[in-house]
Amino acid sequence: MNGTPPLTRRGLLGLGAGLALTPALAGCLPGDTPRDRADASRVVIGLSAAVTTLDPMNTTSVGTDLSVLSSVHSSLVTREPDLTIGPDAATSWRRVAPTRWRFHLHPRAAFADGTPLDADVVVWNVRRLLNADNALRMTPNFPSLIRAEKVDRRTVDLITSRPDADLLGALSFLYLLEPRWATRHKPATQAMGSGPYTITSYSPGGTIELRARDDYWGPAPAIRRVTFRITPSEAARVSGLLSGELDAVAGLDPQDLNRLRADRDLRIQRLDTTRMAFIKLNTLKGPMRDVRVRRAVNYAVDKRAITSSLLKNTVDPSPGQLMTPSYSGYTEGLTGYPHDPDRARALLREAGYGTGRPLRLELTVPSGQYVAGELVVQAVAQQLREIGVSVKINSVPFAVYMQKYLQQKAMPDMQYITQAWPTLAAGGLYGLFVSDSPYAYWHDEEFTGAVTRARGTDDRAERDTLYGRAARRARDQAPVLFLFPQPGLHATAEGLNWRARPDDWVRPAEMSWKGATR
Amino acid sequence: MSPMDQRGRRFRPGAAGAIGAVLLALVVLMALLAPVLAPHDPLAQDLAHTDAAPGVHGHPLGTDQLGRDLLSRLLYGARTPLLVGALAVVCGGLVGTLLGLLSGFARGWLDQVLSRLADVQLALPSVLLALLVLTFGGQSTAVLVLVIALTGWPAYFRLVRSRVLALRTMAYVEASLTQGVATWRVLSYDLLPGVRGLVAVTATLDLSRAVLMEAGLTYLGLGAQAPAPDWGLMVAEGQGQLLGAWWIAVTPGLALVALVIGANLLGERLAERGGGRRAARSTVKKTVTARSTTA
Amino acid sequence: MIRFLIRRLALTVLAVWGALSAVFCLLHFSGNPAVLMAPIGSPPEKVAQLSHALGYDRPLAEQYASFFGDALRGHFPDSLTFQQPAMDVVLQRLGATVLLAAVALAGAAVAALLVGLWTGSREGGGARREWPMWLVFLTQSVPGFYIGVLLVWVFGVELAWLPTSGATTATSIVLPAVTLACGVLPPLARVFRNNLRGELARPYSRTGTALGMSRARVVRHAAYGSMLPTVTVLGLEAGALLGGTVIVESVFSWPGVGQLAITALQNQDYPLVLADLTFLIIAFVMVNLVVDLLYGVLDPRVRHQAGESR
Repeated sequence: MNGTPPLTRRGLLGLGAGLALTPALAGCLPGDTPRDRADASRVVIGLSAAVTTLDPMNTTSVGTDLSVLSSVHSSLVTREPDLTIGPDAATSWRRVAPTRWRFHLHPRAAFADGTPLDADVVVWNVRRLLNADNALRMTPNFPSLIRAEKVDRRTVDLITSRPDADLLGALSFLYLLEPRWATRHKPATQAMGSGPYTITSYSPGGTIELRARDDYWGPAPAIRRVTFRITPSEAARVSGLLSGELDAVAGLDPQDLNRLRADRDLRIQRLDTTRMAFIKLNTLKGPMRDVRVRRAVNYAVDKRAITSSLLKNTVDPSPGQLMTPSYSGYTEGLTGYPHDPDRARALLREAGYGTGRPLRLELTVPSGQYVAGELVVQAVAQQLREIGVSVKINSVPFAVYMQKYLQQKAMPDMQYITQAWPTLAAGGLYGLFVSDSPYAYWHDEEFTGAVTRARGTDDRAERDTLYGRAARRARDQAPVLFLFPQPGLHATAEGLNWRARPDDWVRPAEMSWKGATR
Repeated sequence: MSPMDQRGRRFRPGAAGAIGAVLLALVVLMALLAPVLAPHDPLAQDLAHTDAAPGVHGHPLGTDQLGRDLLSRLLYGARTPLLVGALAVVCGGLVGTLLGLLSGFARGWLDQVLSRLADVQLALPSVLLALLVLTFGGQSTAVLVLVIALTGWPAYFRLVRSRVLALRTMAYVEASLTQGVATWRVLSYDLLPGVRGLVAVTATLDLSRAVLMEAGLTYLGLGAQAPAPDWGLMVAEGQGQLLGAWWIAVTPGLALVALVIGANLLGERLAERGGGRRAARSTVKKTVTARSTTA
Repeated sequence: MIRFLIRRLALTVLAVWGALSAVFCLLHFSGNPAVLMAPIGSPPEKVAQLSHALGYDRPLAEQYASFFGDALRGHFPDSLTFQQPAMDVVLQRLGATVLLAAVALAGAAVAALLVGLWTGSREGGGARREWPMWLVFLTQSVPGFYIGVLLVWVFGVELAWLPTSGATTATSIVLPAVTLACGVLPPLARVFRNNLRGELARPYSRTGTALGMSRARVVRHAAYGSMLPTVTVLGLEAGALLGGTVIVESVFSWPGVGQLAITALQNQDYPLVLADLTFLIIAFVMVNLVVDLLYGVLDPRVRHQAGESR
């Protein structure tokens, strides 16, 4: 390439980065074990995908980008490991009017460069978030937020267009930048925050190193140095754990359960996640408009065979439910569709499909997004083939998948998805299935009516009855191919305390080594 | 040049060629007779017996993570590499031979243009070019065949062209030309027979290059898609299971190696017999394999 | 010399022109390339805006001309996943690839030297001497990704000696480098071995032996004589390595430009794929040019041969 200034300079930088890799490689000696790291309060965490940006408002990937950034930045409120909302930069908050929330900021909250985190900072960040010209990926999560108003130096109001119970949950994802710093630097590739750690090393898609800040205004984290290592392949995560290169990995594939359990230096935590996995059916167009076809595919799939083989019995098949029992408003006593291929074939014949008119379906799965997703989809597709349905599997990047699903309204006949609602309320999760939800692809008056009435009632018994009606309606109408809860499998090095969370956050500030001095 | 074409007591070249022919024939038979030989449907899953070791539960080569019979997948899996490889060789061979004939016969500006085109093609890295075409030109079997053929034609072109240049000076060709025989007759009756052997040799060696490239691109996810049985894809699928079920990835790779070795051995033997002089032989080899190292 | 230089440079210019033209055609193949360069699902007005910003609404001929300037200066649209100029991302990853390629090339050179000396320094010797060449022949028939998978299995999984993914510890480079080296070893070993044989058969070697020089000394001189062609092949393979890195880096998740191209492709980050592959292709052509020129300087015979055959 010819020697124009920008390229040459960047080229040299690139080469320099590569050469810098050499000492970095040499500095990490083979003798580095979890025990050594425990003594030095260090931890190495394996992430399943590369961190693509350091701009916290331009990503919504909780398990990767935001997990790293939550250590570097602070938000007003945070989602605690028990899924309640707790304080971060805001010490307290309350609703002063139906559409106005008031937040009191921590008196010592400050950025790494000493700038205080005050009301002006919050106002600026909200303005940045809502500015459509910035085209930030976080913005759509704040549909009701209008603006922020400074009350005094340490008090700020957030104003919404309508009463919005989800605002606090959304705010736990909103990390605050320092206004002056942000205008002079590139937030996509640089970071300076008010969180417990600072980034000491980062390259796009590469390993990330963090160091605990000595001047952090909040409680000092037990882990002083953190390495986030990008291990896109499941095999690399498992071998990294087994060889002691990695201390903590979340969201492992149950296929590896036995190998991991056999290692005495590892602690395996299996927990019930709040996500339900199913194959969503597009009931608005194509063959899935017919409820007989929807029921047929439900009968055709042997859920138990999949959970016991591919998922190694880490979860049980869903009893025809859209959510897991941890939600308030969950209905007991439903049963799932049994595995009955003959009935499935009969239903298809009834619906007019057969040798003369074969049923062809398209099934999309986001690549590498869900635990064992691609494998499960292959199993489902094959079982559908066995009742004479031909299935074409498409594996697409998550961003493309979501785009088709929500923006273009062009969901395929079937797509693999897992859904959860952060507040663990049936009203929230069922909200994804009511007629006017862009997530639903299902217009059912009875279901929507029951959910809407349940949301509007304060009487618990009546509410649960209504949710029960909704649950039975969903089971009967089958807007999805019911599968199972997403398995939660986390592994940590023996001696590392980390309470695995049912959601996707991986936060080093929540970890500590047993018997560590600090 | 390989151990086989070094004169000496090491190995009888005929034997090496025979081994190559047998390997190649075996793979072709596998592909053709897959429906007869395969004990199971290559797509049928047995979720109760996933990751079964070879020989267990009536699966001679074991099963993969979805409980599919690996022997059946191996047999059917021969089809895509063979088909894509053969089609690419035919396409690249046809184009390269035709252009080589034209170039060597017409000489002049046409020869200059075509030769420079071949130079440019050879100066570009084939795998990277293939990635580029598959990204922006669409991913399908047809594009895969075309892109492998595209990186293969200059080998035929160069060899045929130089042979035609030599043949032109032969008395019988000159005689035809001076008698005013139609150009196409000269090309097809006088020149084509002279390059047939050469093209056959080149094609055999090119087959190994084409198969290697197909497998490499499929491994990267740019060829056949799941659940289709394809050797390159099977290796990719089994890579994550090496810890508990190494056979998923290792067996299809061995089949791939057998196919490539077969084509290489046979090609070298043909080159030795038909190619005649050592120099010509090494040119064939060099021109064909120079590009294959990147696959 | 001048003639050789001009011919070689002309070929390079032609190759770069050909590659860039191909890229340009592919980009415009499906109509408006802004659709590919815009973030997934951008509304039509955003695409139009980007199309204008990138100049895709100008006449094709004009775009064709400016495309060369942009490509050679490394000006590509922003990467969709990394949200910064695509070429910046590529260059940040370049170091890892250069490191891997250099280690692999050095390893292959040493291995070729050993194989060549072992098999080429003595006449005959049978299977006991020839087995390394058999191994080399075998290596050439094994796809690079399969060598990688086998190494992962044996050294990473069964023996658990070496890490198999990423660039995490000092030993991380061993397996990818060996895999990459396997791709270039066959031509190197052959050229060195055959030239060594040739040199040993020449009069000066025979004279040396006749005069009572030790076998080791004769072989040493012959080996020096075989260096030049070996070094050329080494240089040519340096370019080929760039293509090989795509597959090898993917097998081992090595954080270089090759793996970047594949992950960008999987993420449908087309600007990044474009920048990455264009950069690699041009780098490949340039490396080959430099090697050829160096060789031309070192060995006058080449200049004349090249002049004749082209």
